[in-house]
Amino acid sequence: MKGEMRERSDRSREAGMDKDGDERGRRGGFHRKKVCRFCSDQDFLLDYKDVRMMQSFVTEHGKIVPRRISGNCAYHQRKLTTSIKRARNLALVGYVSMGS
Amino acid sequence: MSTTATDPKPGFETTFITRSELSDEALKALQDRLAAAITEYKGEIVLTEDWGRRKLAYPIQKETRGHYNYVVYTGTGDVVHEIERHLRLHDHVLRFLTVNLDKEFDADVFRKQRAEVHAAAKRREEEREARREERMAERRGYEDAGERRHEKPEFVEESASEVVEE
Repeated sequence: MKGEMRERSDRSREAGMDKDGDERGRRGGFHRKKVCRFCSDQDFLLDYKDVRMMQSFVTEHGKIVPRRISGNCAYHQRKLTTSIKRARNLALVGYVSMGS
Repeated sequence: MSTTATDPKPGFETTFITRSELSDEALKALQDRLAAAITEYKGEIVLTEDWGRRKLAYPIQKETRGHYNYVVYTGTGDVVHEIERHLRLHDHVLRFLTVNLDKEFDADVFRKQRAEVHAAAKRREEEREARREERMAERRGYEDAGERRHEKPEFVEESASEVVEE
């Protein structure tokens, strides 16, 4: 069990996260510390022209997914909101709903 | 900073959407006009891309499809004003957006980055395609196995029940 836990925390890249690692039976149920995808993956670029990337951060009603849920860091969430708004202006992403 | 003889100029990128019924010649004319405006302001076109006709996420001026064009250029002073003025005057331009890229813009670096982005997108697309095919193959495998397992016994059962009813 312990070995498994250690392996997982290694995978989450940042030290000191072990406490927030997978832990069941806590109030509120299952928790996993989320990592900002833009920080962890250098190939995952933030760009308002990349529709597919942006759609993963927008709900089906066209709302921007909050940081609480997507797990982005503050810096990238800020950049992401501006790029989503640019994409909306260009009709790449919808204002109210996704273009199916 | 840069090794070119000229001073570094700010870079801009403009994306504009034209009506999809706009003919290729008319589009070419518009692009030429923009190119002329850029050279007039001592800039140069770094790269142009044609994203083709796409479905818009929401209708603009009762159009549901639009032709996307993307231009990256450098220039001094009021290039952006001039470009946007041309786009605004044109009847067939639905929307445009200009983004300031960098104060000291390096064209070669940008071109390289853009090529990398395209390559990465292509790679991801291929991966996705491969995964989809794999899934389809798996499903087909299941279905074949399932049919083979189900068909005969069901048939037997049905006939058996009929016999009982009679």
